[in-house]
Amino acid sequence: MKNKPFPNPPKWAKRWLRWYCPTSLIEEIEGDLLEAFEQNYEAEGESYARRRYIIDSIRFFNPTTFEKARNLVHRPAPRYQNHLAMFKNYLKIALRNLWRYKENTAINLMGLTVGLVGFLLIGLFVLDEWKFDQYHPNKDRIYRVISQHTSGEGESRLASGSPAIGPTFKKDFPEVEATLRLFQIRQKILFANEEDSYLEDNGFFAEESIFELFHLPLAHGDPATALEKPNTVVLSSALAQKYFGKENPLGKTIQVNNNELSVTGVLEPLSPHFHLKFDFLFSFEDLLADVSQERIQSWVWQDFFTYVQLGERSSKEQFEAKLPAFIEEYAHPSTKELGFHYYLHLQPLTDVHLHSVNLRNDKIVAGNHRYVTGLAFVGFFLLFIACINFINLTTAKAIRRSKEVGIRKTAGARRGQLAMQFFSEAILVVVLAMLLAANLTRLALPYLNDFAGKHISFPIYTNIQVIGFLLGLCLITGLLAGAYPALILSSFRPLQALKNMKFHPGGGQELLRKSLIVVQFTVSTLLIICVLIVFKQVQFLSQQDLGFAKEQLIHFPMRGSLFSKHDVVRQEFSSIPGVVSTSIGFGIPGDIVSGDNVIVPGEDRRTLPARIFTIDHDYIKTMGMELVAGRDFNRDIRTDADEGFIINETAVQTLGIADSPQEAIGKPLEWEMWVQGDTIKRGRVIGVVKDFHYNSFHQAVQTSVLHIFPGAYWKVALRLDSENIEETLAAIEENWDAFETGYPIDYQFVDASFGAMYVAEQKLSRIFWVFTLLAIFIACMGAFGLATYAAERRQKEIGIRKVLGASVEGIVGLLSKDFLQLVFIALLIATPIAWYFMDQWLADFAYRINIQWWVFALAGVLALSIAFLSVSAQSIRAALANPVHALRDE
Amino acid sequence: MKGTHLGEFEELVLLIVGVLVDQAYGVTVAEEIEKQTGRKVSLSPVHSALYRLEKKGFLRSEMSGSTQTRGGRRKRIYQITAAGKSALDQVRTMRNNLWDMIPEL
Repeated sequence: MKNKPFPNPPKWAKRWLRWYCPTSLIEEIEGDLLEAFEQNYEAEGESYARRRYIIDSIRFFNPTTFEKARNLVHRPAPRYQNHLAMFKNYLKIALRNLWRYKENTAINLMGLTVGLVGFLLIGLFVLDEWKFDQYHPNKDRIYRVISQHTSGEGESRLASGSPAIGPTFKKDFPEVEATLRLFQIRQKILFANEEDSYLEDNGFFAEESIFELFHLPLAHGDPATALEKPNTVVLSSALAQKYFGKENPLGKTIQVNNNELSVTGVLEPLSPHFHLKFDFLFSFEDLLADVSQERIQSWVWQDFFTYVQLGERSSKEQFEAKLPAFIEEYAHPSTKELGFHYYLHLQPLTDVHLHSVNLRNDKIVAGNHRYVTGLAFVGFFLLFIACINFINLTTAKAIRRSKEVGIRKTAGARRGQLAMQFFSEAILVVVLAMLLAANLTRLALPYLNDFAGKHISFPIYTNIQVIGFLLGLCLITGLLAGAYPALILSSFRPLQALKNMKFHPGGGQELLRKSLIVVQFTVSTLLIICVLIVFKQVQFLSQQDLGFAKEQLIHFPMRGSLFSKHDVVRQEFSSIPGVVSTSIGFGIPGDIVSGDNVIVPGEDRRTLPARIFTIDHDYIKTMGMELVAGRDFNRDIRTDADEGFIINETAVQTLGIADSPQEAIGKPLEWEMWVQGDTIKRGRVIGVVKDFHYNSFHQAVQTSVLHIFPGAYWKVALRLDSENIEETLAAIEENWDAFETGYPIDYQFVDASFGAMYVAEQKLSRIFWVFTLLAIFIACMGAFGLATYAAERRQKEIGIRKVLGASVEGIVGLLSKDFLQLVFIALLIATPIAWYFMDQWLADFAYRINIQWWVFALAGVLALSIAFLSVSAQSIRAALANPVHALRDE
Repeated sequence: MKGTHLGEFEELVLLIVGVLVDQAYGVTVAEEIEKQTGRKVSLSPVHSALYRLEKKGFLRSEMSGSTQTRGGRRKRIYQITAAGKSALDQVRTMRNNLWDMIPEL
């Protein structure tokens, strides 16, 4: 049967059928018709078969055929075509690919991980800063009253204001629901229970409305009455624990500077997001009892923090509009006499933490909104750059997958499916990176908390919100990083893909890639320069001669009986074996130094500002200062105490008494004594001391005058032996206790107070290091990605060059040249910006390095070598490759 | 139930698909009808009936592998569904009931 030449149905009928029949049905209909034709031919002969075929082919031309065709197209895919199976396949292929190109995977993972860690850490910090004071129930209606002062000396803004503002507001404005006055306690106060006593210095006098305005829950006590009566105190939980242990201190008394105060409340631990930090609150009534009625109504005294809560219907703008008239009426009559005007502004409670940077006289836990916003941008930038680098590297390596894409497409994969496949691969990498990043962030968080003084937690396994956020972040990052490669990969045409054709993006993308590299390297170079300069400056500061020896030097304030027994004090402390030298006085470097005037007598009698050091005969020796001319005070020369002055080198110039230190000896000087009446101390300069730094290097050394004046001896300074410091300190404490002042000793090391002056610089230095490493790392990733891309794209060019005789060095040079150019451009951009910012920063120091050209050169060399290193691996590989591999398809 | 009514021809086609397990497609169904009833049917109404039955959910179909005959073209093979079976059952029950109600002559 098969061998017989088989007759065909009439051609025209066939053509007719094919003309009208929908393509989706032609196979089954024509198949059936043909089969029937064959059977009819066998059974009934050709003409019958032909007749049946014609009739049937006409009869199929009916509405049902067309309806069926329509429904067939839209019919849902049958169940056996399992999406889950395809997804499993994608996952398998993705994992195989990740495993196969380990180097590539590692780099992509690292880049994303670093970007995510940076983003998460910065994000946690920024969110924490934004949380400040958001938890107070009426936060939107509470404002802090800040004041703006203008006088002949210019303008300044104060966080504090007059004590009269609060009560007068309440009296005059019905929309003011509540006011609160706080007065910061500035001196150390002795707290004592039966056994122990300690100095505390972190508290306020507070009105009872503090519990009304702020969400400040009490662990014990009633907020409504806690600060109502005089002689009451509210303690922080830490302080309550310190003095009362585990007992409930409510109703107990505590000795405070020899007064008996009753504890009326114990606070719950303060929220870490509260802008105030304090250990105790005294009743405002106690302050009112101490201060005269006249002073508490003064508009000149500006040391009170005032908060107001406005009614629900009033707005900040409306209320502020009333304030100029208010000030004009109450304050200006008294302040204008003193030569200053002022205006009040309302600062929303939620702005207090971040927006108080330029306010003087403040006492809050302050942040800086500029840093916070800047950091937020940096965080997004890090993540964005990490995504860009991921995109670069992935598209560069896309060529490896072109055959796979070709095969899949030939086998019927639609573009959407392919895009989905590559997209899920990107998501997979992002999820892996996120797992790494979230754990690394947890590891790094203690350092951040330590650095920023925060208590941020990051519960990545237990908190559903955090998990949700991280998953969302994965999706967004995956979208950013994966969408473009997925589109590019899925757009390959099967034929080209199988023929190993290269993919060429347009010129615009090329420019974008290059600009991104320039941006990344600009940031890195900028940071390298900053790190170098900050490092040099900090080094400069630490090597600067202070003019005295700050090591093993302690000082402490005198109390009680010590004031009247100077000689005994000297004797007692000097007798300790470890104490090398003892001095009593006021004006110890690193501590408070008084400012006053000195008078240069003569025809043009001049009064000049000067730093006054009231010292004894042993001061210069104890401090380890150096005299450049004249002599030190001498106990045997009786006139020294009443008529001798020692000045510093600067004073020789500024007082205009001599051209050289030697000439200054014997010149007359006068000083108005700090005693009742107009007593003037007249004397002569007996010595000139080398300039010594009593303050940080932010401030220049000023005219300094040292002289003997027992009326202002407030501190004891001891020079210790470097051996057995512990024992010596114990002995000092014992001797102190023998004086029975009722206060514990409160000593400080001078080198520690100098160290504390540069905490900000050290923090800056540390944060610059971190950011620099991060930026360099990310820039390297970027360069590496682009180099890979260029090497892949120029594979054939390199092949042809090699065939024509190019050397390996020549090709490495060719490939590296492009990058070095980009890095060079980055260097040109970074240099002026870095110079400007660092010059601004250095301007804060009275003693500073000059920015030298070699810093920029060094940063440039560093940036170039970093770029070269990250690029060269790819370039060399490309240059060493066998040209046959690149050209075999041609 | 609208749309699930079985016409006489449809019922016949459905029964035949049930009989021709895994072998039911246009030509075989038409052949079987002719064999069982002696009625000559054209292919087009068979196709229409098959399609309508599928739309009602009594049949399901898939394209099967090609063979040497019919120019290498694939066939749409029909299978009876559970709904198709129960529809046939209903028709049969109804018939039986009616038969039982006819008085003996």
